[in-house]
Amino acid sequence: MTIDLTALAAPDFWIGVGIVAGIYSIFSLGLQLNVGLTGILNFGQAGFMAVGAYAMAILILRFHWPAPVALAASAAIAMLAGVVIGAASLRLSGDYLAMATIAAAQLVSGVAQNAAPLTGGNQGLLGYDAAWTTLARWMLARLSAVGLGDQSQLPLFIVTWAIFGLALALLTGLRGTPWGRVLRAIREDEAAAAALGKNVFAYKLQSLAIAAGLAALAGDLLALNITLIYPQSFSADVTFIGFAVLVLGGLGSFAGVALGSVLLWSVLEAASFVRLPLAADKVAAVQMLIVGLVLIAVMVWRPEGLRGKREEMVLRG
Amino acid sequence: MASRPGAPGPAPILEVRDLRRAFGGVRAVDRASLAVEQGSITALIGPNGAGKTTLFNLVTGFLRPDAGDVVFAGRPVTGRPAHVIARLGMMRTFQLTKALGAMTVLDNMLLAAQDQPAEHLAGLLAGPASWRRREAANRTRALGILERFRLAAQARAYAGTLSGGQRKLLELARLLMAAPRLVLLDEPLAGVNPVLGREILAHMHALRRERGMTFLFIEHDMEAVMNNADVVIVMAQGRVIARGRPRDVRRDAAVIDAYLGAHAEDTA
Amino acid sequence: MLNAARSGTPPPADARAAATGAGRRWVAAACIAALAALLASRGAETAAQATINGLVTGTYFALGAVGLSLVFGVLRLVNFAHGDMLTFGAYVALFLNAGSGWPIVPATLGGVLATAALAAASELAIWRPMRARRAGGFQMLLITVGLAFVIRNCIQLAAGADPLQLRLDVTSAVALPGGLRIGTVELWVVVAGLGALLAVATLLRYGRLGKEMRALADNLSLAEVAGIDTRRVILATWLFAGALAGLAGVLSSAAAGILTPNFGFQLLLSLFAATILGGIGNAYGALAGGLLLGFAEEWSALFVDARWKLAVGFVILILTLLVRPNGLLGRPALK
Ligand SMILES: Nc1ncnc2c1ncn2[C@@H]1O[C@H](COP(=O)(O)OP(=O)(O)OP(=O)(O)O)[C@@H](O)[C@H]1O
Ligand SMILES: [Mg+2]
Repeated sequence: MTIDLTALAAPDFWIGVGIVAGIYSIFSLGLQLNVGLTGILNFGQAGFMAVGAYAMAILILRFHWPAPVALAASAAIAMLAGVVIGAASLRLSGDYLAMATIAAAQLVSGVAQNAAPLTGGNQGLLGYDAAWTTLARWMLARLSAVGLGDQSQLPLFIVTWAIFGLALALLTGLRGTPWGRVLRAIREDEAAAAALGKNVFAYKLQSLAIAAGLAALAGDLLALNITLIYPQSFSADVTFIGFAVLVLGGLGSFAGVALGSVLLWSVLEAASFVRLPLAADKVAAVQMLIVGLVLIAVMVWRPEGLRGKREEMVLRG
Repeated sequence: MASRPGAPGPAPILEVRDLRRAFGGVRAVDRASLAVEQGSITALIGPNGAGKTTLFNLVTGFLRPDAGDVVFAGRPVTGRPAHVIARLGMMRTFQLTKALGAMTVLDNMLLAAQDQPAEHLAGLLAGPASWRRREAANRTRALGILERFRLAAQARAYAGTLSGGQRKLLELARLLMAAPRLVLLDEPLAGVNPVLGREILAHMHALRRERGMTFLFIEHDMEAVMNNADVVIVMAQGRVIARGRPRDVRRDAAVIDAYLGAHAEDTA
Repeated sequence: MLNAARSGTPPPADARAAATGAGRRWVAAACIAALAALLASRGAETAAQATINGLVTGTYFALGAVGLSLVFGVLRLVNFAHGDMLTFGAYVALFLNAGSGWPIVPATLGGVLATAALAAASELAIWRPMRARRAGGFQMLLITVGLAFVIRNCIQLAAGADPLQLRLDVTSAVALPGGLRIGTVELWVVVAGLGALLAVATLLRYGRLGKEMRALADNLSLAEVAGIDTRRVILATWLFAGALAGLAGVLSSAAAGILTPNFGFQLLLSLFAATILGGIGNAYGALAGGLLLGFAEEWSALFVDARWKLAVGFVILILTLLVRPNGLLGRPALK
């Protein structure tokens, strides 16, 4: 077993890690809003991600919508899915909600697999990124002015973190408003919030819809990053990696999400540097093993994560 | 002798008719009827398991009744969601205090304010300046109320750090912030030391005097009930069995029976 | 005189009073309607064949769901690692059978015992200490998710992701009256599975352990006060759940004829559906729910493309949660 460190010094490696970490940061911001701020256990976030990514790809490929419009529409469609799924499930509490949402996500994945004319089935979809490639080339031309023209992944990196920055600013702002205060009250005690006249269900629905929109944006970026989407790109594993990011960063902390994501993905990607004599499936297993261990370790030893506040921990199930 | 069970007095702010709710085989509330007069301090008493808390839950929308009607301030509210009923001006506390421990005392108060449009996403669109002004006004009002309840020093502390008695006070202060017309208190004196108990009762009288608030409170401390309530309503086994002035009710044969019966069952 | 005794007991959680009888009638009516529709549209033979297939699927669903439900009933824990416990049992059996050449029966027993040991180890290493720390439900739930990842990927690390098979004769079949057929392996799956379920049901009904488990499920602290050794009963619950999961894993992979590290997790949602269908926390309900779900999936395959078979499980899960979150069968309560 040797460790090849040369790649660690290569900037394109870190740019690649940064893109994935950024995508999961956006994805987990939604989870943070649901779990950390509203107290709803959304186990179906990967499903909303799939809805977003497929919506964008389908609108571009099958309906020839302009890419920016398709991107915006994909978020709107995922938010609508959030409202529909939420309307059906958000009266359930805790574990039941977790089961209902993960089942809903599986249903999305089932549709993606079986509605082949639209989704390409297990073959998936590709070729939806032509407009993006053009934009990326334009950005690279600008970047070459500062000597960064050969970092082909840099445009996506910039766009991803810019979107994260906007989402972070938006959510941080929202948390500080009276609206955010109601969410915190609901997180702690729904009955108390209702007794003070707050429409708990409506707030949960809004929370889930916003999270779904964020998942969709993350899905769109993921689609641009991997250039081919198929149902397995959005398996339940993705949701749980999001949860690992979430608890690592700390429940309730939006900035912690980015910290958790960068940390986790640095470790996961670095795992591929340890040149174990292993096949690809086993390297993937090592990575997911780390995710599992992170989940367990954080929940056992530091349930408030790196940035969470212990006083505000509401660890309802 | 006390008057007929559930007999309506003049100008009831709350009327409950034939309310029913069963849990499996247990008829927790069984055709209960009662009326609460505007501006009164009414006590709801009855042995453990009589259905008092369940009645509160039904009236305030936390449980759906199987049958019966609830009329608040002339409006039928039967089966309406809890938050709607609260917004109409009927608010309640819980048998186990529900101060929001992971929020500060001040945030607890601000949460109770009913006039903050920025609690809704649409209201936020008006821009931060307008809701911040409202927020500042509410903060001033909240601090004033906290002062009155001797909680001002803890305004920035997490409510979870308060003592049990202080939490009860905070719940009351929060209600005052929300300014409902009718307040339903589920055992406000339970687990509270006598000094604080007297303080809570004094707040109740003062709020009625100053703001015309009406109170319906569940209580097991008979001395407090006898000395503070204008009207006492007695429940047993899901029904209202008596209603009247405190000194009449305590002599009511059905009431004595209910309590003795409950004791007999306890010891059996 | 009127100073009634004071008690600070919290009001019980809103136990939705599901009229159990109505639920059962509803299920029976739905089953009869489904069968009638089947008979009318596809003929008796097809319907019967689908029912046999449903029995096979339902058997291992029931085995898996009973363990899941026991753990939930006693510990209020939704175990997301349960599906991967099935995988674990199946891989151990496969390793013993195809790897070390053990005959299938001892290999199966090996898988069952190993999974029981794994479940007990998780209790000793994680759940007991976490309960002692009064960990919250969210912590516990995410630990089960983490454990699921650990088990699944340890298996993948050890055995790779390629599909494997038990050494079984999957081609032979037994002819049943009326021209129906059931694969020999599948017949054994049904016989062994139903036998095990019967044994478990009897044990839970009449054995002391069953009574103690019910006492714990009703009220853990009360059971403790009543002198029940709760630690022992909880450990036994895990052993039981693990053994059943192991058996379910071996039987389901035998029936499916294929095994991958994702195998159990893919079954998990069906197990949730079966558990909730039967009223979560209710072991008998889970048993019935498992069988019911098996039939539902196989019958549905006659009407919609078989690729949607799994989706049927998710739809049933969601619908049950929405319409009757306390399940169609069995006792209500438990929130
Ligand atoms: N959610 C519920 N599920 C099942 N049974 C319930 C529920 N809530 C109340 N009950 C039952 O209904 C009856 C009335 O309970 P309730 O809490 O209303 O009594 P109470 O008069 O408030 O008693 P206490 O003075 O002890 O607070 C009791 O037998 C109780 O066990
Ligand atoms: Mg009560």
